[in-house]
Amino acid sequence: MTPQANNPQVEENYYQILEVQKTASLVEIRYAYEGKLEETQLEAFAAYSLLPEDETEEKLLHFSQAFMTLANPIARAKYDDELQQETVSVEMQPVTKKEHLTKIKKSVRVKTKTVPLPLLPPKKAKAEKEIEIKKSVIKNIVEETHAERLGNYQKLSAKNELAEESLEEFYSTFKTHGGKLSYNGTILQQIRKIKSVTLEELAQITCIRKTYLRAIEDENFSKFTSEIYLKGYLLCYIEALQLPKEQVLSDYVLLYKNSF
Amino acid sequence: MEKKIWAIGGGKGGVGKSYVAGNLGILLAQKGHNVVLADLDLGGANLHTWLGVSNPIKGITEFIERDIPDIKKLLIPTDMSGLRLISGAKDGVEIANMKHTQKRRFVTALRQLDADYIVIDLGAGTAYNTVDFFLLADTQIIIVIPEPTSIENAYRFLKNSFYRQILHNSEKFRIKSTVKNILRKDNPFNINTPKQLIAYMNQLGGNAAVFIEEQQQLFMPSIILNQVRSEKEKKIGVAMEKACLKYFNLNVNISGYLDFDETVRQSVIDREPLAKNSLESVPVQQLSIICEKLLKEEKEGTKKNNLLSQLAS
Repeated sequence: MTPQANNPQVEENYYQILEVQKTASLVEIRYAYEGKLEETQLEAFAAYSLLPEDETEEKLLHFSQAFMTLANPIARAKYDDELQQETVSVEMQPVTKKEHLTKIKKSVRVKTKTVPLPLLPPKKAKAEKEIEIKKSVIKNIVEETHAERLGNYQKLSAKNELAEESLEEFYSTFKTHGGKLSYNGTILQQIRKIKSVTLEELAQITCIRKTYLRAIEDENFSKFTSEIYLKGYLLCYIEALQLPKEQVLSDYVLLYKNSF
Repeated sequence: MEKKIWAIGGGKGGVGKSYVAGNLGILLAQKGHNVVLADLDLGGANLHTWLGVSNPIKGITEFIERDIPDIKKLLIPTDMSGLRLISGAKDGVEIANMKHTQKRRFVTALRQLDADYIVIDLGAGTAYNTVDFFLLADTQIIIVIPEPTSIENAYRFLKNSFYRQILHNSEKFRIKSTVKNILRKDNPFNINTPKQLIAYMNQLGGNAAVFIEEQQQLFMPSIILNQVRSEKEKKIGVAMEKACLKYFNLNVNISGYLDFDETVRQSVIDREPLAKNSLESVPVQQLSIICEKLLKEEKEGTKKNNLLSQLAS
């Protein structure tokens, strides 16, 4: 009788949640995430007054969780290991041939379109072999960018650790002034600067464009077409800088809501 | 040709019901049909102003109060051939609370009018009378604009219409008391959406299950998404179809989109309906497409009007 009863949710893995292949590149994952944000927003809008708000929130949290794990090479590798173990014990779900094929097709097409350009070698003349060549090139790029991102992550975690003390100092200034800390764009920016993380680094880590990250700090809300986008991006910002999720989210979203 | 009634409603005010109703009426008349536009915006009728007919002296009020017992005498000619108007109520209060017998008399008279198409402009709101007139139509159209308020009202309108239809039609199946019991105000079975109602009645089995399946098939309103300002907003139409299926278990059908257009407002100010003179304009072109689609669906449709037979009997 309840709406959920008709829709038994099988526990989906992060790849299934974002509807990407296990071999998906970071760019693909980002596109998939942005696509999911848009879809959620549209659904929340079109089903206004029907869809319970916490259902949207829950969905959003699912997507951002999946995205943040898959966008982080360390977390992703760990997650892949866990999945591997699970699939050994549990039988794989049957996938029809056609479904499988279209999925592969799709992923190949997207890959060739979205892979970063600088590492591409000069174009080969033979059109016949082109697809094969592209595949191997992609593999190289994926591996190289993977290594690069791994480095970025390690750098960021080091910065997060290093800044612990100075951050505590920063927080304590609020306490001595007797005020309660309420997160806004300026404070987020200050924290980022204390951790000496540049916007460029943050953009690389989160896979979110710099303009959006800057808009978060500038409280330039017109950049976000809806609350859902804002939350989606903000969650990544929070995760990257290891901020207290609940508080930042509620403080900041309140700012956003009050701006109308 | 069988007479067809099209009703245009949608819950919220100011979303373009009169605009769509009026222009659809004109477009149908231009196709050579004999059209009567009926202004049933009970309480706020102004289709006459919109069509450039100034201050009609007679309207539905006179018919209901039996000052003019012959509905034909209410017909006001317009300056467009094939298009006549029945003006709404001037003093809305009593009409908005029309009694069942009065409603039945009016519907019967409406059906007897000499016309191919009767296009009804319903008012805002989801009151029983508005919903009843919506349900008696062969083609049921809901106008929505991409705003939460309008979307919310549209769902409320859909829900009320569906419940009302079920209540009306249950008599034939001799399960009226069952339905009434289910839809009691104290909500004994905790039913909050049409989906839950459908599921519950299916559980009951027998007559109730057959009945509810038939009612689901009978209830297929169309949605027109008006004042669309971007490609993204266009997607809301399909998303609403999905939402209706998912949350209501009801088949709602998107008939088309109308882009936001400044000339529309100007046409209302000028009291010059767009379909009358600006045939080439984008709004009229889009309306034409919708009109064609509705005509096609009507031709193919197997929809029968159960409520009418009930009201008219």
